[in-house]
Amino acid sequence: MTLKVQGLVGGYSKIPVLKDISFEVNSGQLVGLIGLNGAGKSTTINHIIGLLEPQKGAIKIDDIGLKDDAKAYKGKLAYMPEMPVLYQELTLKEHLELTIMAYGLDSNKAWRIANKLLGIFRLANKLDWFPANFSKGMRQKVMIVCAFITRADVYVIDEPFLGLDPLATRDLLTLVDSEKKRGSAILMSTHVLSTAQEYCDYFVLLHQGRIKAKGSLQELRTLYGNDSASLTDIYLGMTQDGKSNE
Amino acid sequence: MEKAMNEIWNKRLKAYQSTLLRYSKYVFNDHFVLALLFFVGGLGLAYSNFVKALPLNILWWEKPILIVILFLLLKVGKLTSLLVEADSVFLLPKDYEMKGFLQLALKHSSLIASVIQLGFIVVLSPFILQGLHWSLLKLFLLFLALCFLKIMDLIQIMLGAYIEHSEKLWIKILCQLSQLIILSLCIYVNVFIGTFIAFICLVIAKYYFNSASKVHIFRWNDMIKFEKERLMVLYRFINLFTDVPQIVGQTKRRKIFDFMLPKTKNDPYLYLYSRSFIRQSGFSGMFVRLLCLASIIILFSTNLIFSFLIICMFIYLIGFQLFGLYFTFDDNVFIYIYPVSESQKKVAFVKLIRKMLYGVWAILNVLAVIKLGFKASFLLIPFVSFVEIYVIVGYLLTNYLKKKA
Repeated sequence: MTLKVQGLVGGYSKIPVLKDISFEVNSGQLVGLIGLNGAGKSTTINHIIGLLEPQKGAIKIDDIGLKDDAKAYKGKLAYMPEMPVLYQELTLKEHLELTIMAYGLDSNKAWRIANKLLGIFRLANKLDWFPANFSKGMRQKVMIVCAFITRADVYVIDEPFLGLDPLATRDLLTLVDSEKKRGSAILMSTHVLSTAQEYCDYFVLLHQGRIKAKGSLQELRTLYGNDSASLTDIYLGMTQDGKSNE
Repeated sequence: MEKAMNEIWNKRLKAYQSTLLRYSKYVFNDHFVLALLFFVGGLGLAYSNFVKALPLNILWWEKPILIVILFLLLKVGKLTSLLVEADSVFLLPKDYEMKGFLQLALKHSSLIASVIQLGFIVVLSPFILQGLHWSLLKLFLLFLALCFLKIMDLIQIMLGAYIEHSEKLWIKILCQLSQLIILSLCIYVNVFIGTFIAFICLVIAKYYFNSASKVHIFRWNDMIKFEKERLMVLYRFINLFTDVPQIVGQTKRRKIFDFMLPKTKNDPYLYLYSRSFIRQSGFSGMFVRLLCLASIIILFSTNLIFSFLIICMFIYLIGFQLFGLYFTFDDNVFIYIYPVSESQKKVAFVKLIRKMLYGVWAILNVLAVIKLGFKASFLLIPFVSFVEIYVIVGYLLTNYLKKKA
């Protein structure tokens, strides 16, 4: 259960946004993809989930690339978008059924997990509603439930905290933690740096399409030369440094 | 400051008119215009015969009927405010200038509404002149009264920008009542007095609006919702002739049709398409409308060949209209993320569309055999139309998808 990104060069057009991105997300690891708006977080994620094709480099899950076996690759991956994406014409219950169907999950087992999650996120009484009409936070919770019933090997979570209330944020982090313990590899992009510092095991700092630094918090501190620096200090220090260099 | 609002209004009006112009090309296509000509011609002939047959003395029902017709025709045309959702954020600082904006909207809407009322009066004039023995002057005054009443109606809608719902409801009822009373006055008592009172009402309404706009803040959400609903009615009509992108978003739960959904356990695309078909008004509405139309035509047809052509044509029409459903989910990222191969998509789509067309095929053929009676030659219809279904979901669909790709 490893996600490997090797020498990724890519973007939306011929001019690459990402320049030589390499990192790994291993089993039982929560990796934070950190960067300012426009640093290339979403582009990296779009490459991983297979919406964009790399111009150079490779992305593999357990040594399988999207082109080797699309079904196997996608079957190992669950994705949670930053802006909730829902079907206008499907109820909450049907969203879950569809996810079960699409991933070929065991229905009973998946529903057991789903019911637990629906309880945690206070959605249990809304099964027959159209979630497309929910508030942003509630839609976000629907995305969480849909992603986590898959029991995927690799989770790609794009900026999950915006729109969630503190209770839901805590519950999501608990959920992420238990999936980590189960052995999943989790990549999470965010710019809520304080939360990232607290929960992520490893950090990939993106800036202007390049990896500025990567490592655990301790490694980053050593690199930065300050043993008590926070992730925010390190990131801001490094990127502002970068600006003067370029 | 005022200039900015003027500019916004003018820009929007231009864009709105060009949108309408663009769509009108589709609405007034050759087939529709031809059908409309026949329809209007037939109706005109019947109307002229009806007017000629009216006796010299005024019949008891002529006046009440005229009042009801005029009253209903006053309902045609709404306030075109051209407000959009983002306005409640972006124009919020211009709150105090919205009255000026609304007045521009009123000017435009009044002009359009007056032209529409003129059209109605022209159509009704043979009946009024011949049946009620009115003079042209009186007819003209009636037209003025109608314009005043219509503009009062528009102002009443505009008042919604400043007053509460409960108060608005009373004003609406009052407005309708005064319309009815003034129309009766015009027709039964004296059109001079009626027109004069209509004008007074209009002035009162305008005064009331002015004073309300001074004490209350602009009710953004209400006005935006009202404009949205107005556009939806318009777009839904245009959608009968061509695809209107704004229409697609409309979904309804339609729980009673849940039993019709396929009980699939391993076909995500069929699961999606069937729900999308039933719950998206665009597709199911079109399906039902065309099916009803075809059924009615067949029930009136006494000719085998004609029924045959109608069945074939409608199976083609319905099938072709359903093709658009194929792309409904293309902007949903999860379609690309699910570990499901894309080839399943077309298989599922063909399955659904074929089933729908089988249904159409069965209903129309049964109706035709009920109406025409069974003869050996009748077998031609079910046979050919059945083959047609396979041509549609096979050859035509593949071609269509290739062209769109």
